Amino acid sequence: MPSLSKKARHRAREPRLDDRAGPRNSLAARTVDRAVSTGTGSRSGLVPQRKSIATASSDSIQLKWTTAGVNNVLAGGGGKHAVDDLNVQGYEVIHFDSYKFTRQFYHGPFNWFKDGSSKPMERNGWHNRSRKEIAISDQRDNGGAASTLVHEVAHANQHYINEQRAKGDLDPAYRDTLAKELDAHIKQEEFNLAANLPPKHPSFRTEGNEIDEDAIARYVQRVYAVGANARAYVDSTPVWNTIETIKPWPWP
Amino acid sequence: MIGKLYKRHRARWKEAREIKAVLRQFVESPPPELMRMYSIRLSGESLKGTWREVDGESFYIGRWRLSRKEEGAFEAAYGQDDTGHGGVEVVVEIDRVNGVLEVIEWSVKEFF
Repeated sequence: MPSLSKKARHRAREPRLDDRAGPRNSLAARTVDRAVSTGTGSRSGLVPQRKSIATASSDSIQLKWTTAGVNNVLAGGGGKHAVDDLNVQGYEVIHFDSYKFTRQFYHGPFNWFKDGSSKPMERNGWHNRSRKEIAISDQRDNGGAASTLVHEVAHANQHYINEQRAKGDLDPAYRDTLAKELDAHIKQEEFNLAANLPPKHPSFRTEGNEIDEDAIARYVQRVYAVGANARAYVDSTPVWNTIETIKPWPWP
Repeated sequence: MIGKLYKRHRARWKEAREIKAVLRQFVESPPPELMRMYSIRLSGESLKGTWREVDGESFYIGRWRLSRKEEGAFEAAYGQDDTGHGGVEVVVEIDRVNGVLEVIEWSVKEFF
């Protein structure tokens, strides 16, 4: 690929699924054939593998969330703006099966000694602003995926606002992870309440079923403030499979 | 046998030294956006520690996880995470340009 820059070639190496046939973006789809690109490490392994779509019925899987199902939940909670914001900013949503790995903590001089045994861990998804991608695990149902989407679109909007302010040489409106997460968690909880979804964490609601922002702030502080003080650890290579990529997100 | 092991060890050591130099340059002069947009602070501390193999595809240099990619390229990820939920990972793609390893692209993955 002599005409591509080094950066473009990097992107080109990643397993892309755009040329894949199938019910991608189909509102009616309830099942899709098990995919397709095996991702290890981050998005690709030693050699990106692109398997052909399985056609055997045994490979069909029942998805826990679909765009149609998520749209129903979004419509019920007044969350259509999340889809609008997602599409306007050109995001791609990656629907993956699961993202599992094990983590071994270390301690002592030079972090030489193992701290207990390795623990199985799982990611629910991620947001990558540079690549304009939001990945959501299929371990979530339609309600969970809709709630996650609202949360991640809140992050996308924060980045957009920060970028606009940076152009005007202004300080970012959302300075750090804690500020971003607090805002996104509150927006997510507002949506959960409107859509009759359970709170992300039981402490997020008062006894009167109102949003407890102080509890959200405490949760965010506890979960997201670890930062550079995190204990030393070694993760195994994560394994995950892309089921479908969605861009733009369809809205009926 | 010992000769083969020695050669393998030496190759890894050279590779790790080269990667470490690239990452050191990155952490010591990180892109301004990394600080401004994500408030992520990187330092040489993150590179302290031994080379540690995870499996055939990944290994660690200090607290950076390196994944081998095709054509001798690497993806390096530095996580600031303790729980497995809600961490951020700085992802740096490293590849050879004119025979020298360089940072080609960086991004931040915010996990949930």
